[in-house]
Amino acid sequence: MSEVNTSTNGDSLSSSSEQKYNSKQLYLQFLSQDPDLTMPIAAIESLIQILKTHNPTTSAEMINIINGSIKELTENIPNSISLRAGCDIFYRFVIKHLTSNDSNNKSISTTSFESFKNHLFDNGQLFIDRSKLSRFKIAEYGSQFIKDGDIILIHGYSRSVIQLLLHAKLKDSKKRFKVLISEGRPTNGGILTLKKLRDNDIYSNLITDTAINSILHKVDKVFVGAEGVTESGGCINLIGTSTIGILAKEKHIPFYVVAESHKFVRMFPLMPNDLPMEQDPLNFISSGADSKVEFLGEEATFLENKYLTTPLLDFTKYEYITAIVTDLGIKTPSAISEELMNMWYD
Amino acid sequence: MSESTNTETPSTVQEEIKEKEPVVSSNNEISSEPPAGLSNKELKEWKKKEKAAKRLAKKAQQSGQTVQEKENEAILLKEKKQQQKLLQIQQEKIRVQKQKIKQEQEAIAKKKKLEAQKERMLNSSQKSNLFGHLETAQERKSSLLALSSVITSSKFGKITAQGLALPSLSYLSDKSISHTVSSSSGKITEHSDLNESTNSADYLVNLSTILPSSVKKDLDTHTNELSSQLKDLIITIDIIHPSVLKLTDSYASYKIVGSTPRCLALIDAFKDLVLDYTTPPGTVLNRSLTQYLSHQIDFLIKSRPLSVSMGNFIRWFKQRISVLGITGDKDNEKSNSSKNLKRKKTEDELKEELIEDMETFKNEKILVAQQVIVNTASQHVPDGGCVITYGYSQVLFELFKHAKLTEKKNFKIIVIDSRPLFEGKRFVEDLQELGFTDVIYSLITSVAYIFDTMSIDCVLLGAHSILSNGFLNSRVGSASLSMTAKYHNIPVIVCCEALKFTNRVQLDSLTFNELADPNDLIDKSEEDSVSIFNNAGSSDGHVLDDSNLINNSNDIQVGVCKNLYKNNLLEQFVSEREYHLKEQQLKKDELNQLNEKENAKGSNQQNNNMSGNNSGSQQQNSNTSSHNGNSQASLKSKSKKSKKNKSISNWENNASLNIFNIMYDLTPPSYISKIITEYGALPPQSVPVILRDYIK
Repeated sequence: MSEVNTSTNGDSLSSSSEQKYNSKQLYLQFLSQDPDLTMPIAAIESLIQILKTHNPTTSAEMINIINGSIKELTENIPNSISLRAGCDIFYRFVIKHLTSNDSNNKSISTTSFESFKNHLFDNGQLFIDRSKLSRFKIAEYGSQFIKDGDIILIHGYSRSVIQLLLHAKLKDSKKRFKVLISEGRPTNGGILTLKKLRDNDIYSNLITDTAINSILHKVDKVFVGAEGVTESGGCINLIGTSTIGILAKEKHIPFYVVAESHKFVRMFPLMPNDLPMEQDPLNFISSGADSKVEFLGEEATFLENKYLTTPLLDFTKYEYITAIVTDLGIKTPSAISEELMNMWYD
Repeated sequence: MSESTNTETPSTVQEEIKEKEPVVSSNNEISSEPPAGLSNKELKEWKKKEKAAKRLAKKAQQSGQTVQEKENEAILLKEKKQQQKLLQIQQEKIRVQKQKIKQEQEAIAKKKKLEAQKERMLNSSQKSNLFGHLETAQERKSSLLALSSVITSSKFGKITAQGLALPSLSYLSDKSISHTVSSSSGKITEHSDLNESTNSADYLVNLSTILPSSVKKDLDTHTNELSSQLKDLIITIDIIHPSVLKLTDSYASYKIVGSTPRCLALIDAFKDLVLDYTTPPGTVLNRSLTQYLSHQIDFLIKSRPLSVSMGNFIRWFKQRISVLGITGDKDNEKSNSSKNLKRKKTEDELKEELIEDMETFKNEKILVAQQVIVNTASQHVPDGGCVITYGYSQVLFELFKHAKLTEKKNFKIIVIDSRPLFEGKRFVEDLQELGFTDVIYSLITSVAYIFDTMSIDCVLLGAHSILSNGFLNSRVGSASLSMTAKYHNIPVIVCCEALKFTNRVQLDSLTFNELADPNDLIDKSEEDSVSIFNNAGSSDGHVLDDSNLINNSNDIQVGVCKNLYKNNLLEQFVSEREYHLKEQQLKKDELNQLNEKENAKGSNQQNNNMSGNNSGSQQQNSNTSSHNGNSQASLKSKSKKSKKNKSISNWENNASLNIFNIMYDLTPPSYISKIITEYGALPPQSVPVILRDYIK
């Protein structure tokens, strides 16, 4: 990532040889560099980086580049939902600025385009900072829900939820509460969550996903993160979330989704399996050599289990969600579609 | 007495005025001098004074007047006096006559009023029901019929010198109709010369064919509102634009059905209207046009209540008219400021502008909106899948067209339909024109079965309107369909333009709804139940042979479906039924002779009794296969129904029977998964967002 195309004058066409950066590589690189970075922000970062490299001279070219890299990203990265949310936000941001420039000046003036481009390049870091800031805001809003003596159930690993709990424990009048963590198969983020919470002296226990119902009646609140919050106000999250939602609804336990506003995504799944997934459990292998199962023994690890066809994400309908904690405040599920519409139409 | 005349109905007052007129004129001919409003004594005194003054003046000026002249003068004066006396007598006579007439009239009017009240009381006590607050179908039907008679009759009602001449209502001179109903016309025919009466007789012939007795009856019972309504109609008929007339007619006869087609037709009619409109001198276009428009709309809503889309369009249109001149001027100033040319736009230009705007509205809010919706919704039409829909929806038609022709998808469509409008038939026809081969047509009655047996991907529904609390207001039956779908975990997707969103909040279908003609539910079913079977597909499938028929209906298409019924089962069924009917009639006669009390009890008991008493044929039936037995049982109930049919067709005279033919129902938001509008997809809970931010 050293050389940057410096030719500004003359030919606006960027030849294919300059396309050194693969948006996917960039994206993964950003993610690995900063463990606190969420996927949508990493996507935005990589898009900006790509724009920097290509340095488009017209707005049409800029839009083309963005569209191309978004396509590349969403197609090549598995689990692309929150990534898509980030790309959406960026695309919309760019389009909005370009069109508003157009309407104000009646004609596309090169100066306004250049200044916008520079603004975009310079403020790349702003997105990251903002996203981190938003997590603090969420923690502030969300920790109001936690009371002394609460038992809280969380599912898998979510940065925002952990941030929220830490805020409640350390800053917000030092609340005392206990946390149950479901391990969140098949990614098993629960172990990481357990480590982070115990490091901060929060009482916490790890349970298997299957054990949730056996203790749920003793739980006071459920907090889950989100990969994306959909137009309907439902949330897309680690597999198992929707199960918890339904169980919590049945037992009248409040179910909170914690998500930054840049995770709002213009999707409208109708069913829990209405998401793009690599492994479809409904795809049955009838016969043949592939269908034979070798018994691997008791010690067989589940992660590498090649027989597993679990999808990684599921969709929780808005009916099961009590409230969505965002950096814009506490939202009801139906307010999400308003936010999304405002983002897209105003 | 004079006070009482004032309190009388305006029509009698009007009449009084008319009769006064000749009297006044005759008075004027004879003596124009005395000022009006003097009593007899005053008149005399005034005359004497006048005479004295005249004498004095004459003595002073003409001393040389002959005696003869004086005598002549005196004679003249005497004659004058006599004439005056005669006049007074005449006046008094007329007054007495008038009083008599008035009294008679009052008495008659009172009688009629009382009678009408009684009847109304009777009626209201007879037909008190849950939906009494809605405009009854009868009321609407009668006004409709009057409307159509007004539209179709060659001789329009006109305002003449004698008052309002109502050719369409001249049968009212019939004695059975009260005088309060447009008594002016009635009186004209009674009192005036022969010409008029022959005229009205002529009308009578015309109109008796147009106005059925039901309207007559309604006029008896709902005298005031209806007659005034009719009067309004007939007064305004001359200023109603022909295209609006035509539109009203096609609304009323359900030629144009569905929220979107109705709105489109309305826009087109208004375009014609604006094009043909010329501002009367002395007024401004935007003021006079608004007024003119409201007359048209008043007329239009007599056919059917406005749909929400039409209401929204009209609101926009009126608003647009009101700012018409203003914005036009501004534009002019802007565009012509450089040339310093400030001229007012001519009427033609304004009209052109208006029509252009209507065209944009139509494109933007309906046609393009539909395209956007179609693009969004096409993801829900699965390739190789199966969708189910209800009635007719234009957006859905566009959607299926797009999915089939543009996206080249193959999918099965199940069209659910219902009586009495059978909009689904039209949908099926349209779909088949597009080349759809996999279409299943069925009635709402079989919906539970369809959901049970077929794998359906989603329910797609159109809308009449969407209320701000997320309820869907759509053709009656959609709610049942969505509920069944919800029960089977099948998503319900509503495609609806934002034009159809309304601020209204409603929690049940009865508070505000449209009642259609109850007779629609009856007429056909009686005469030819066969045709119903042909039409209805598997509507009565469960009444027929369950196991046999419905298995077949799984894969049959519309045409095949019909044939199947026609050829085998239906004929069998009909012949069976006829046989059974006869048999049962015989049995019943016997039973009636045996004991009438038993007969009056419930149907189950009857069946039991019959099987108990006359076991012969019954046992034969039970010996046959089990499902045959079922069908027999259903046949029995069916035949009983047909016996009761007599009372159903006679429902208007049956106090204990109400027939409820409602047009729309409400689907609660919990049954709706998704609403697709041109602003994107949203859950039903977020409807207020659209209302607040995007509909202005």
